Amino acid sequence: MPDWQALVRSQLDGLALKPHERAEVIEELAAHLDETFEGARRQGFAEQDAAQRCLSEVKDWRDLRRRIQTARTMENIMTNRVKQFWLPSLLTLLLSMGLLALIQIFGPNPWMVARHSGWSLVAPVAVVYIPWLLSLPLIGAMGAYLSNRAGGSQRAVFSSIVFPVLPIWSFFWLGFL
Amino acid sequence: MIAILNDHVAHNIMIASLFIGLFAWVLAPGAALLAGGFPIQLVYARRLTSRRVVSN
Repeated sequence: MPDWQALVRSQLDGLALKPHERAEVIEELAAHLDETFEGARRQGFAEQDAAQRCLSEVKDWRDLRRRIQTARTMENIMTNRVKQFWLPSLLTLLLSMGLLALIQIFGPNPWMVARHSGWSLVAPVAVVYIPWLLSLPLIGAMGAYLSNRAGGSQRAVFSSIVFPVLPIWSFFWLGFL
Repeated sequence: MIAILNDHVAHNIMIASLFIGLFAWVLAPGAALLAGGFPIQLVYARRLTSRRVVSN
């Protein structure tokens, strides 16, 4: 039986990937060729014919190398930071702000916190949307789940959870200055 | 007319108002988000610890 690993390794020699990714690709492809070879042998092909049949599956090794390279590069575009922090954070921000907007339009009246000073007119100092607050634990849980699933560090997970309040916090920070 | 109204309209934004606003828009939502996210983080941290114990 041909040494498929050696054959694939020599054909994909110029594959510009990290060593572990390259080894993974070679192993997968060699396993596929091995399966095809065994299948052909079971069908009654002689060893040399079966090997020829396998080799005919790959018409152009250079083209295959280029396609593998492109596919792997696209996978790597989504870096760990995007998966562990930016994606969960932006999703929690989008969901919480979207939900707030919906509750403001369709939901019940908010609870207004106002300062009373005789009969003077005082603008409400805070408007609290209780249904929004009640929905936030679910959104926080989702952010934590996504960040954890992507292998995020504790810092990345907590940042993803509280990310929706960071823009509001910065507005208040500006107000204090 | 404006002068009459001016006496009854609070113009100064007091520091207390900012703190109330901060509580309503930052601290309370932040706590609510953490209330949901923290248990998930705990579960994952425990799972990770138990995996490490098994692998050792």
